[in-house]
Amino acid sequence: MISFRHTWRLTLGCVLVVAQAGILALGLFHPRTSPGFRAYFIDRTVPLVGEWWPGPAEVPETAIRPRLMTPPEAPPHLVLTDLPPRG
Amino acid sequence: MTSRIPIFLLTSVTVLLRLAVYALIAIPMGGLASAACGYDCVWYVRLAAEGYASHGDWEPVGPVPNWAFFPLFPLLIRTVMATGISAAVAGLVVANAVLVGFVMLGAAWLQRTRTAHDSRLWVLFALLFPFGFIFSVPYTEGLFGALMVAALLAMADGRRLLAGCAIALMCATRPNGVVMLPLLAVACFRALYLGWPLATSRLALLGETMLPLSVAPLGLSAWMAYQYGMIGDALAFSHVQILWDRAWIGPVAQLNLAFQAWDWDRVIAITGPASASYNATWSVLGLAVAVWLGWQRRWSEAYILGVCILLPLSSGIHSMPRFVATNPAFLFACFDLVRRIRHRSTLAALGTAFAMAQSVLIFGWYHSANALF
Repeated sequence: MISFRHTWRLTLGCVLVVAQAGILALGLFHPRTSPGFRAYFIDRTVPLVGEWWPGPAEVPETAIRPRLMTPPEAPPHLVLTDLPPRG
Repeated sequence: MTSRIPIFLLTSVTVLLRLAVYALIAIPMGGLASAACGYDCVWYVRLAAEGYASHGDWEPVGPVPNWAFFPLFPLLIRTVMATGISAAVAGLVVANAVLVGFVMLGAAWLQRTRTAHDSRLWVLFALLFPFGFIFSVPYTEGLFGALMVAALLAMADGRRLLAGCAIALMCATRPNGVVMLPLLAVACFRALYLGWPLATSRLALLGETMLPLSVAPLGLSAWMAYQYGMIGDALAFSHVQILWDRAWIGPVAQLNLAFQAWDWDRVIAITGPASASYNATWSVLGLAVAVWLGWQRRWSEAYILGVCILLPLSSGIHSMPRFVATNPAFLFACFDLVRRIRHRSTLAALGTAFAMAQSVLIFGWYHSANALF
Protein backbone atom coordinates (compact mmCIF):
# COMPACT_ATOMS: atom_id res chain seq x y z
CA MET A 1 0.00 0.00 0.00
CA ILE A 2 1.29 3.47 -0.87
CA SER A 3 1.38 5.70 2.22
CA PHE A 4 2.28 9.32 2.89
CA ARG A 5 5.31 8.12 4.83
CA HIS A 6 6.64 6.56 1.65
CA THR A 7 5.78 9.31 -0.80
CA TRP A 8 6.19 12.69 0.91
CA ARG A 9 9.80 13.13 -0.22
CA LEU A 10 8.92 12.23 -3.78
CA THR A 11 5.91 14.58 -3.73
CA LEU A 12 7.95 17.44 -2.30
CA GLY A 13 10.73 16.78 -4.83
CA CYS A 14 8.26 16.88 -7.73
CA VAL A 15 6.68 20.13 -6.45
CA LEU A 16 10.13 21.74 -6.15
CA VAL A 17 11.17 20.58 -9.62
CA VAL A 18 7.98 21.93 -11.23
CA ALA A 19 8.25 25.26 -9.37
CA GLN A 20 11.90 25.72 -10.33
CA ALA A 21 11.24 24.72 -13.94
CA GLY A 22 8.53 27.38 -13.98
CA ILE A 23 10.91 30.05 -12.71
CA LEU A 24 13.50 29.05 -15.31
CA ALA A 25 10.88 29.12 -18.07
CA LEU A 26 9.82 32.62 -17.01
CA GLY A 27 13.43 33.71 -17.13
CA LEU A 28 14.09 32.22 -20.54
CA PHE A 29 10.84 32.88 -22.37
CA HIS A 30 8.86 35.57 -20.62
CA PRO A 31 10.92 38.45 -19.28
CA ARG A 32 8.55 41.32 -18.50
CA THR A 33 11.07 44.06 -19.07
CA SER A 34 10.90 47.14 -21.22
CA PRO A 35 12.10 46.98 -24.84
CA GLY A 36 14.94 49.29 -23.90
CA PHE A 37 16.03 46.98 -21.13
CA ARG A 38 15.79 44.01 -23.47
CA ALA A 39 17.76 45.72 -26.21
CA TYR A 40 20.57 46.58 -23.85
CA PHE A 41 20.76 43.67 -21.44
CA ILE A 42 19.27 40.68 -23.23
CA ASP A 43 19.75 41.24 -26.96
CA ARG A 44 22.79 43.47 -26.35
CA THR A 45 22.11 45.46 -29.47
CA VAL A 46 22.21 48.89 -27.84
CA PRO A 47 25.36 50.33 -26.31
CA LEU A 48 25.04 52.03 -22.96
CA VAL A 49 24.87 55.80 -22.87
CA GLY A 50 24.42 57.71 -19.69
CA GLU A 51 21.84 56.80 -17.11
CA TRP A 52 19.92 53.73 -18.05
CA TRP A 53 18.41 52.26 -14.89
CA PRO A 54 14.93 51.12 -15.87
CA GLY A 55 13.63 51.06 -12.29
CA PRO A 56 11.12 48.64 -10.83
CA ALA A 57 8.22 50.99 -11.59
CA GLU A 58 9.14 51.17 -15.25
CA VAL A 59 9.23 47.49 -15.97
CA PRO A 60 6.06 47.39 -18.17
CA GLU A 61 6.49 47.17 -21.92
CA THR A 62 5.43 50.78 -22.42
CA ALA A 63 8.44 52.10 -20.57
CA ILE A 64 11.13 52.90 -23.10
CA ARG A 65 13.74 55.21 -21.84
CA PRO A 66 14.98 57.35 -24.70
CA ARG A 67 18.36 57.65 -23.05
CA LEU A 68 18.88 53.98 -23.60
CA MET A 69 18.86 54.54 -27.33
CA THR A 70 22.08 55.74 -28.87
CA PRO A 71 21.91 59.10 -30.57
CA PRO A 72 24.32 59.25 -33.52
CA GLU A 73 26.50 61.84 -31.86
CA ALA A 74 26.72 60.01 -28.57
CA PRO A 75 29.87 58.17 -27.54
CA PRO A 76 29.48 54.53 -28.49
CA HIS A 77 30.06 53.06 -25.06
CA LEU A 78 30.19 53.96 -21.46
CA VAL A 79 33.81 53.74 -20.43
CA LEU A 80 33.79 50.60 -18.34
CA THR A 81 36.63 51.79 -16.15
CA ASP A 82 34.25 54.43 -14.80
CA LEU A 83 32.22 51.73 -13.13
CA PRO A 84 32.89 50.68 -9.59
CA PRO A 85 35.51 48.03 -10.18
CA ARG A 86 35.08 44.36 -9.56
CA GLY A 87 38.04 42.53 -8.17
CA MET B 1 43.31 11.51 14.10
CA THR B 2 43.78 15.07 15.28
CA SER B 3 41.15 16.35 17.67
CA ARG B 4 38.95 19.14 16.38
CA ILE B 5 39.23 21.46 19.38
CA PRO B 6 43.00 22.14 19.12
CA ILE B 7 42.59 22.65 15.37
CA PHE B 8 39.73 25.07 15.99
CA LEU B 9 41.81 26.98 18.52
CA LEU B 10 44.86 27.04 16.25
CA THR B 11 42.73 28.25 13.33
CA SER B 12 40.96 30.94 15.35
CA VAL B 13 44.17 32.27 16.91
CA THR B 14 45.97 32.30 13.54
CA VAL B 15 43.07 34.10 11.88
CA LEU B 16 43.05 36.71 14.65
CA LEU B 17 46.84 37.16 14.47
CA ARG B 18 46.60 37.54 10.74
CA LEU B 19 43.89 40.16 11.14
CA ALA B 20 46.10 42.01 13.61
CA VAL B 21 48.90 42.14 11.01
CA TYR B 22 46.43 43.29 8.33
CA ALA B 23 45.20 45.99 10.73
CA LEU B 24 48.76 47.20 11.33
CA ILE B 25 49.40 47.45 7.59
CA ALA B 26 46.06 49.24 7.20
CA ILE B 27 46.74 52.00 9.74
CA PRO B 28 47.90 54.57 7.12
CA MET B 29 44.82 53.74 5.02
CA GLY B 30 42.29 54.64 7.70
CA GLY B 31 41.90 51.27 9.41
CA LEU B 32 41.26 47.67 8.52
CA ALA B 33 37.54 47.83 7.75
CA SER B 34 37.81 50.58 5.16
CA ALA B 35 41.13 49.45 3.67
CA ALA B 36 40.05 45.83 3.25
CA CYS B 37 36.76 46.76 1.63
CA GLY B 38 37.54 47.25 -2.05
CA TYR B 39 36.11 46.11 -5.34
CA ASP B 40 33.18 43.69 -4.86
CA CYS B 41 33.18 44.28 -1.12
CA VAL B 42 31.84 47.78 -1.74
CA TRP B 43 28.89 46.25 -3.55
CA TYR B 44 28.26 43.69 -0.83
CA VAL B 45 28.32 46.11 2.08
CA ARG B 46 26.05 48.53 0.22
CA LEU B 47 23.68 45.69 -0.53
CA ALA B 48 23.72 44.71 3.12
CA ALA B 49 22.97 48.27 4.17
CA GLU B 50 20.53 49.32 1.46
CA GLY B 51 19.17 46.20 -0.25
CA TYR B 52 18.62 45.42 -3.89
CA ALA B 53 15.91 48.03 -4.39
CA SER B 54 18.49 50.78 -3.94
CA HIS B 55 19.74 52.17 -7.21
CA GLY B 56 23.31 52.46 -6.05
CA ASP B 57 24.21 55.94 -7.19
CA TRP B 58 27.84 55.72 -8.21
CA GLU B 59 29.11 59.14 -9.09
CA PRO B 60 29.82 60.14 -11.80
CA VAL B 61 28.30 57.19 -13.63
CA GLY B 62 24.89 57.38 -12.01
CA PRO B 63 22.80 54.41 -10.95
CA VAL B 64 24.40 51.07 -11.64
CA PRO B 65 22.65 47.77 -10.96
CA ASN B 66 23.71 45.45 -8.21
CA TRP B 67 21.99 42.32 -9.52
CA ALA B 68 25.24 40.50 -10.28
CA PHE B 69 25.82 40.04 -6.55
CA PHE B 70 24.08 37.06 -5.03
CA PRO B 71 22.13 37.51 -1.80
CA LEU B 72 23.46 35.09 0.82
CA PHE B 73 26.67 36.94 1.73
CA PRO B 74 25.02 40.39 2.08
CA LEU B 75 22.20 38.74 4.04
CA LEU B 76 24.74 37.35 6.51
CA ILE B 77 26.37 40.78 6.78
CA ARG B 78 22.94 42.28 7.36
CA THR B 79 22.31 39.76 10.13
CA VAL B 80 25.56 40.64 11.89
CA MET B 81 24.77 44.34 11.45
CA ALA B 82 21.86 43.77 13.84
CA THR B 83 24.46 43.87 16.64
CA GLY B 84 24.98 47.54 15.85
CA ILE B 85 28.27 47.42 13.93
CA SER B 86 28.84 48.96 10.52
CA ALA B 87 28.39 47.00 7.30
CA ALA B 88 32.14 47.01 6.54
CA VAL B 89 33.01 45.64 10.00
CA ALA B 90 30.17 43.12 9.78
CA GLY B 91 31.59 42.00 6.44
CA LEU B 92 34.94 41.36 8.10
CA VAL B 93 33.27 39.42 10.91
CA VAL B 94 31.32 37.22 8.50
CA ALA B 95 34.28 36.61 6.19
CA ASN B 96 36.59 35.57 9.02
CA ALA B 97 33.98 33.46 10.80
CA VAL B 98 33.33 31.47 7.64
CA LEU B 99 37.09 31.32 7.03
CA VAL B 100 37.47 29.42 10.32
CA GLY B 101 34.69 27.11 9.15
CA PHE B 102 36.34 26.64 5.77
CA VAL B 103 39.72 25.73 7.27
CA MET B 104 38.10 23.28 9.71
CA LEU B 105 36.04 21.64 6.98
CA GLY B 106 39.11 21.53 4.74
CA ALA B 107 40.99 19.72 7.51
CA ALA B 108 38.16 17.20 7.79
CA TRP B 109 38.12 16.66 4.01
CA LEU B 110 41.89 16.16 3.87
CA GLN B 111 41.69 13.81 6.85
CA ARG B 112 39.18 11.75 4.91
CA THR B 113 40.87 11.78 1.52
CA ARG B 114 44.61 11.83 2.27
CA THR B 115 46.83 9.43 4.12
CA ALA B 116 49.11 10.69 6.90
CA HIS B 117 47.36 14.04 6.97
CA ASP B 118 48.66 16.75 9.28
CA SER B 119 45.79 19.13 10.15
CA ARG B 120 48.06 21.66 11.87
CA LEU B 121 50.19 21.99 8.76
CA TRP B 122 47.01 22.45 6.71
CA VAL B 123 45.81 25.27 8.98
CA LEU B 124 49.12 27.10 8.67
CA PHE B 125 49.26 26.48 4.92
CA ALA B 126 45.69 27.70 4.28
CA LEU B 127 46.22 30.86 6.30
CA LEU B 128 49.71 31.68 5.05
CA PHE B 129 49.07 30.91 1.37
CA PRO B 130 49.82 34.21 -0.42
CA PHE B 131 46.37 34.71 -1.94
CA GLY B 132 44.71 33.39 1.23
CA PHE B 133 44.21 36.96 2.45
CA ILE B 134 41.18 37.13 0.14
CA PHE B 135 39.36 34.82 2.57
CA SER B 136 39.69 37.48 5.26
CA VAL B 137 38.36 40.44 3.30
CA PRO B 138 34.59 40.75 2.84
CA TYR B 139 34.29 38.58 -0.24
CA THR B 140 32.30 35.43 -0.90
CA GLU B 141 35.32 33.15 -1.37
CA GLY B 142 35.38 31.80 2.20
CA LEU B 143 31.64 31.21 2.37
CA PHE B 144 31.61 29.56 -1.03
CA GLY B 145 34.61 27.37 -0.21
CA ALA B 146 33.20 26.34 3.18
CA LEU B 147 29.87 25.34 1.64
CA MET B 148 31.63 23.50 -1.18
CA VAL B 149 33.73 21.40 1.19
CA ALA B 150 30.69 20.85 3.45
CA ALA B 151 28.79 19.51 0.42
CA LEU B 152 31.70 17.24 -0.53
CA LEU B 153 31.93 15.87 3.01
CA ALA B 154 28.17 15.32 3.23
CA MET B 155 28.19 13.46 -0.09
CA ALA B 156 31.12 11.33 1.04
CA ASP B 157 29.16 10.45 4.21
CA GLY B 158 26.07 9.53 2.18
CA ARG B 159 24.15 12.51 3.63
CA ARG B 160 22.81 13.66 0.32
CA LEU B 161 20.04 15.90 1.64
CA LEU B 162 22.56 17.81 3.74
CA ALA B 163 24.76 18.07 0.65
CA GLY B 164 21.74 19.38 -1.31
CA CYS B 165 21.13 22.05 1.34
CA ALA B 166 24.80 23.12 1.26
CA ILE B 167 24.67 23.36 -2.54
CA ALA B 168 21.43 25.36 -2.31
CA LEU B 169 23.30 27.86 -0.11
CA MET B 170 26.23 27.83 -2.56
CA CYS B 171 23.79 28.67 -5.36
CA ALA B 172 22.61 31.65 -3.29
CA THR B 173 26.22 32.79 -2.84
CA ARG B 174 27.67 32.71 -6.35
CA PRO B 175 26.39 31.68 -9.78
CA ASN B 176 28.86 28.82 -10.13
CA GLY B 177 27.29 27.01 -7.18
CA VAL B 178 25.46 25.03 -9.85
CA VAL B 179 28.70 23.24 -10.76
CA MET B 180 28.07 20.98 -7.75
CA LEU B 181 24.79 19.67 -9.16
CA PRO B 182 26.36 17.00 -11.43
CA LEU B 183 28.39 15.66 -8.49
CA LEU B 184 25.24 15.41 -6.38
CA ALA B 185 23.38 13.84 -9.31
CA VAL B 186 26.03 11.13 -9.57
CA ALA B 187 25.76 10.44 -5.82
CA CYS B 188 21.95 10.32 -5.95
CA PHE B 189 21.68 8.09 -9.03
CA ARG B 190 24.35 5.80 -7.63
CA ALA B 191 22.36 5.43 -4.39
CA LEU B 192 19.21 4.77 -6.43
CA TYR B 193 20.95 2.15 -8.58
CA LEU B 194 22.46 0.35 -5.60
CA GLY B 195 19.31 0.50 -3.47
CA TRP B 196 16.77 -0.41 -6.15
CA PRO B 197 17.03 -4.24 -5.97
CA LEU B 198 16.91 -4.24 -2.15
CA ALA B 199 14.28 -1.56 -1.52
CA THR B 200 11.10 -2.51 0.33
CA SER B 201 9.41 0.62 -1.01
CA ARG B 202 10.80 1.86 -4.29
CA LEU B 203 8.71 5.04 -4.12
CA ALA B 204 10.32 5.85 -0.78
CA LEU B 205 13.76 5.12 -2.23
CA LEU B 206 13.03 7.29 -5.26
CA GLY B 207 11.95 10.15 -3.00
CA GLU B 208 14.90 9.73 -0.66
CA THR B 209 17.48 9.70 -3.44
CA MET B 210 15.94 12.38 -5.65
CA LEU B 211 14.79 14.99 -3.09
CA PRO B 212 18.34 16.33 -2.58
CA LEU B 213 18.60 17.00 -6.32
CA SER B 214 15.47 19.13 -6.26
CA VAL B 215 16.62 21.01 -3.15
CA ALA B 216 20.13 21.81 -4.44
CA PRO B 217 19.22 24.52 -7.02
CA LEU B 218 16.79 26.25 -4.62
CA GLY B 219 19.17 29.08 -3.78
CA LEU B 220 19.49 30.06 -7.42
CA SER B 221 15.80 29.54 -8.14
CA ALA B 222 14.76 31.72 -5.21
CA TRP B 223 17.17 34.43 -6.38
CA MET B 224 15.78 34.18 -9.91
CA ALA B 225 12.19 34.42 -8.64
CA TYR B 226 13.13 37.50 -6.61
CA GLN B 227 14.77 39.14 -9.62
CA TYR B 228 11.75 38.34 -11.77
CA GLY B 229 9.54 40.07 -9.24
CA MET B 230 11.83 43.07 -8.78
CA ILE B 231 13.24 43.64 -12.26
CA GLY B 232 11.09 41.52 -14.55
CA ASP B 233 14.05 39.46 -15.69
CA ALA B 234 14.80 36.23 -13.81
CA LEU B 235 18.21 36.06 -15.49
CA ALA B 236 19.14 39.65 -14.71
CA PHE B 237 22.12 38.44 -12.64
CA SER B 238 23.56 37.00 -15.85
CA HIS B 239 22.44 39.69 -18.29
CA VAL B 240 23.93 42.46 -16.16
CA GLN B 241 27.40 40.98 -16.71
CA ILE B 242 27.56 43.04 -19.92
CA LEU B 243 28.46 45.98 -17.67
CA TRP B 244 31.73 44.21 -16.90
CA ASP B 245 32.30 43.33 -20.51
CA ARG B 246 31.49 39.67 -19.94
CA ALA B 247 30.13 37.92 -23.01
CA TRP B 248 30.05 34.19 -23.74
CA ILE B 249 32.76 33.48 -26.33
CA GLY B 250 34.23 30.31 -24.85
CA PRO B 251 37.40 29.56 -22.89
CA VAL B 252 39.64 28.80 -25.87
CA ALA B 253 38.79 32.08 -27.60
CA GLN B 254 39.30 33.96 -24.32
CA LEU B 255 42.71 32.43 -23.76
CA ASN B 256 43.67 33.02 -27.36
CA LEU B 257 42.74 36.70 -27.18
CA ALA B 258 44.43 37.10 -23.81
CA PHE B 259 47.74 35.64 -24.91
CA GLN B 260 47.63 37.57 -28.17
CA ALA B 261 47.29 40.77 -26.14
CA TRP B 262 50.63 39.98 -24.39
CA ASP B 263 50.13 42.86 -21.99
CA TRP B 264 52.48 41.97 -19.16
CA ASP B 265 53.40 45.61 -18.77
CA ARG B 266 50.04 46.07 -17.06
CA VAL B 267 51.13 43.77 -14.23
CA ILE B 268 54.11 46.03 -13.62
CA ALA B 269 51.87 49.11 -13.76
CA ILE B 270 49.92 47.44 -10.87
CA THR B 271 47.02 49.87 -10.47
CA GLY B 272 45.92 50.10 -14.09
CA PRO B 273 43.62 47.75 -15.97
CA ALA B 274 44.13 44.04 -15.40
CA SER B 275 46.59 42.20 -17.64
CA ALA B 276 44.79 39.66 -19.84
CA SER B 277 47.96 37.59 -20.26
CA TYR B 278 48.51 37.42 -16.49
CA ASN B 279 44.91 36.31 -15.97
CA ALA B 280 45.21 33.76 -18.77
CA THR B 281 48.37 32.34 -17.21
CA TRP B 282 46.53 31.80 -13.94
CA SER B 283 43.73 30.06 -15.86
CA VAL B 284 46.18 27.71 -17.56
CA LEU B 285 47.93 27.03 -14.26
CA GLY B 286 44.59 26.20 -12.64
CA LEU B 287 43.58 23.91 -15.50
CA ALA B 288 46.95 22.15 -15.30
CA VAL B 289 46.40 21.55 -11.58
CA ALA B 290 42.90 20.21 -12.35
CA VAL B 291 44.44 17.75 -14.83
CA TRP B 292 47.01 16.75 -12.19
CA LEU B 293 44.22 16.16 -9.65
CA GLY B 294 42.50 13.98 -12.23
CA TRP B 295 45.78 12.10 -12.74
CA GLN B 296 45.77 11.47 -8.97
CA ARG B 297 42.21 10.09 -9.35
CA ARG B 298 40.81 12.88 -7.23
CA TRP B 299 37.90 13.18 -9.61
CA SER B 300 35.58 15.44 -7.63
CA GLU B 301 38.36 17.97 -6.91
CA ALA B 302 39.58 17.87 -10.51
CA TYR B 303 36.05 18.44 -11.77
CA ILE B 304 35.33 21.29 -9.34
CA LEU B 305 38.55 23.13 -10.12
CA GLY B 306 38.26 22.62 -13.88
CA VAL B 307 34.64 23.72 -14.14
CA CYS B 308 35.05 26.63 -11.72
CA ILE B 309 37.78 27.92 -14.07
CA LEU B 310 36.13 27.14 -17.41
CA LEU B 311 32.78 28.65 -16.47
CA PRO B 312 33.94 32.22 -15.71
CA LEU B 313 36.71 31.97 -18.30
CA SER B 314 34.10 31.38 -21.01
CA SER B 315 32.74 34.88 -20.58
CA GLY B 316 35.76 36.89 -19.47
CA ILE B 317 39.35 36.75 -18.37
CA HIS B 318 39.09 39.08 -15.37
CA SER B 319 39.56 37.95 -11.77
CA MET B 320 41.00 34.57 -12.73
CA PRO B 321 43.87 34.73 -10.16
CA ARG B 322 41.26 35.08 -7.43
CA PHE B 323 39.01 32.37 -8.84
CA VAL B 324 41.91 29.92 -9.17
CA ALA B 325 43.93 30.68 -6.04
CA THR B 326 40.96 30.58 -3.66
CA ASN B 327 39.36 27.46 -5.09
CA PRO B 328 39.41 24.78 -2.37
CA ALA B 329 40.53 22.10 -4.84
CA PHE B 330 43.49 24.26 -5.93
CA LEU B 331 44.47 24.78 -2.30
CA PHE B 332 44.21 21.05 -1.60
CA ALA B 333 46.43 20.30 -4.59
CA CYS B 334 49.04 22.86 -3.52
CA PHE B 335 48.90 21.44 0.00
CA ASP B 336 49.54 17.97 -1.45
CA LEU B 337 52.83 19.34 -2.76
CA VAL B 338 53.74 21.17 0.43
CA ARG B 339 53.10 18.20 2.71
CA ARG B 340 55.67 16.19 0.75
CA ILE B 341 58.35 18.43 2.22
CA ARG B 342 59.93 16.52 5.07
CA HIS B 343 62.53 18.99 6.37
CA ARG B 344 61.16 21.36 8.99
CA SER B 345 63.67 24.03 8.01
CA THR B 346 62.42 23.97 4.41
CA LEU B 347 58.82 24.18 5.64
CA ALA B 348 59.73 27.11 7.89
CA ALA B 349 61.45 28.90 5.00
CA LEU B 350 58.43 28.31 2.77
CA GLY B 351 56.06 29.55 5.48
CA THR B 352 58.13 32.71 5.89
CA ALA B 353 58.15 33.29 2.13
CA PHE B 354 54.36 32.76 2.00
CA ALA B 355 53.78 35.19 4.88
CA MET B 356 55.94 37.85 3.22
CA ALA B 357 54.19 37.37 -0.12
CA GLN B 358 50.82 37.61 1.58
CA SER B 359 51.83 40.84 3.31
CA VAL B 360 52.87 42.31 -0.03
CA LEU B 361 49.59 41.22 -1.63
CA ILE B 362 47.39 42.63 1.14
CA PHE B 363 49.37 45.87 0.87
CA GLY B 364 48.62 45.82 -2.87
CA TRP B 365 44.96 45.10 -2.14
CA TYR B 366 44.76 48.15 0.12
CA HIS B 367 46.30 50.24 -2.65
CA SER B 368 43.95 49.04 -5.39
CA ALA B 369 46.55 46.99 -7.20
CA ASN B 370 43.77 45.29 -9.10
CA ALA B 371 46.15 44.12 -11.82
CA LEU B 372 47.30 41.40 -9.41
CA PHE B 373 43.92 39.95 -8.48
